[in-house]
Amino acid sequence: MAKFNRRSFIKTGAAVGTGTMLSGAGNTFAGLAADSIDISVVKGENFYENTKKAIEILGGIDSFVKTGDTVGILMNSPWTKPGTFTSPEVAITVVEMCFEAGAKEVICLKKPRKDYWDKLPEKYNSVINRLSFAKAPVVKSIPRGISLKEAEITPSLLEVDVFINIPVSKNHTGTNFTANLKNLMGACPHSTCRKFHFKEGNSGGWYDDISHLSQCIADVNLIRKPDLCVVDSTVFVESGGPGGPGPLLKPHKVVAGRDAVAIDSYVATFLGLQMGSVDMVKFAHAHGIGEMDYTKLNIKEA
Amino acid sequence: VILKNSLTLKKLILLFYILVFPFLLVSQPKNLWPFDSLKGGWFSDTVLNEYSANNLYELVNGGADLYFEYGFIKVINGSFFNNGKEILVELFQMADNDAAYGIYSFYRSPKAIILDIGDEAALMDYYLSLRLGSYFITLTAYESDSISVTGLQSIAARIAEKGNRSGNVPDIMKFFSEFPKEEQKSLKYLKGKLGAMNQYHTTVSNMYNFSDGAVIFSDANKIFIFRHDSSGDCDSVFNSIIEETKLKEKVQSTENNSILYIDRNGKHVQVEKTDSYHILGVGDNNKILNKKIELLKSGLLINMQL
Repeated sequence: MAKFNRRSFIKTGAAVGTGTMLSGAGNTFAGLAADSIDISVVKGENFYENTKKAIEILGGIDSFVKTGDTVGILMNSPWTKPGTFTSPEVAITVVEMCFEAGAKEVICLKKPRKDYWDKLPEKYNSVINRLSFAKAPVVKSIPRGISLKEAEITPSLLEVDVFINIPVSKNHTGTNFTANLKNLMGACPHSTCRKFHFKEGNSGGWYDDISHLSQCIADVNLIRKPDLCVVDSTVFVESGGPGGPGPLLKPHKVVAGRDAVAIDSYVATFLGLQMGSVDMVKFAHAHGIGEMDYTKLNIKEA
Repeated sequence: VILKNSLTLKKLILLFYILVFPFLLVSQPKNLWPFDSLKGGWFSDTVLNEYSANNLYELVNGGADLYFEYGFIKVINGSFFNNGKEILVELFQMADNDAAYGIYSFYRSPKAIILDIGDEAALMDYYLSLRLGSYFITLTAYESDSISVTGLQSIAARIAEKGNRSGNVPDIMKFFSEFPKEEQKSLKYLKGKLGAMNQYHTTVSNMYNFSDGAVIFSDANKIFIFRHDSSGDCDSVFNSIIEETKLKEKVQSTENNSILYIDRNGKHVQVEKTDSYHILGVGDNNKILNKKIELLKSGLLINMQL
């Protein structure tokens, strides 16, 4: 991953500024030295546009998806209350961009709830109808896992050419926070998720051992790192998560990048959680899954 | 004699039903559900779903544990409709009044508008939380327009009419009586580690070993009080906290019944023991933190004398 210093950041910032000026109101970021940008953060009321821009800043969807690729997407979609699930606007934009880039197939690694797409305009029906669904889970060993040595997980996660994680960042009563890393539990069946919560011999409750849960989340992320993360930080619950209801925070931001750990560490700050204060992020960093110190990375806000 | 005894028995059975039947009625959450049409055109004709401790996970997933910590019996849910708008109502039957107060206070936002519905209701943008005896009820609209917000209040009021108020709050909440009224809206009643950990994440393992407790958010400080079954229990827990803290944290000072340290996030943390309570304060400034703890201790003293 490209590292940056103050000078390169200023240069990139100048390039972004110039690119934006040259393109007028089009807001295209094509032509930027996108390799130098690790995390893009786009703020605005239009969540479709935010998502497009966030991916364009990273070099565009073509940097991730090639013609004929199969793409696996993972949204946080079981919940129904405001601020508890990935905005369908964000998710459908990613799906549409994948198809436009020539993706052969886009697979939902977890089937969304049946009314998940209902509030989208009808024009998206053709895109939604092209989506396919993941295979039934199989057991996958995790040799480097500390608390989790194997997990049942959909084999589609490993088979797809490109894996795009599309979580919502929000409060979580157990782990205080959830985004990319915890979202991977969505690709596992309930039987495996139970093991995350109940260490062998533990007769306590679901969150009796947060450290074990956090380690399991870090471990399961060893199976496959996302190729692209697109985090919905538009509207989310500040407390009362994961299911809500709860007071809503509205940063109206979409955050994208390749490093799930760095992005989680960054978006956790929207909830007032300091870098290094979320166990699963620390443990994932210790596994070498990504960089916890997002200040070492090149973050471009637009 | 047999006839006379039989009549007495019938009278006793009748008296039993007159006295107990109303309570049996409201002890079933379904009996609180307003099936009749409500003010503003809201109505509910859905089949109600019921979840017990065995399948609460299906409804609230990982959120279930918090309900178990406070004391959960069952929940029913269903929706109200009005011209394409929907309000989801979840009616949780908790173990007792304190359990309902606890979960209500946990979810109540300090920014909420407090309403005189049931024992207390808190309105926040698109949702309303209601405490009614041993019930905790959440009403969630999917929008925050005036029709939805008015609907939240009229449905809540109708539910409250069908139930019984308890009028009680756990006695430990009274210890915060010296804090400003506005700050008391942030009070949360605690029954276990999960609720406490959500307010402040500590690495000291016995910090949240308690019988019941409470926390208030005062300026940038969090002030907790934890009750133990006896002074001896408190001594034992407090001593283990001191020992572990000395090993794990950057301790600034220790006295007989108090320890001050800086946690991993640079916060000032003060732990004190008084009688069968231990107090935890977390903040950015020692002096202010200490003042807040003294405020709690004065409330404790006043209420213990009463």
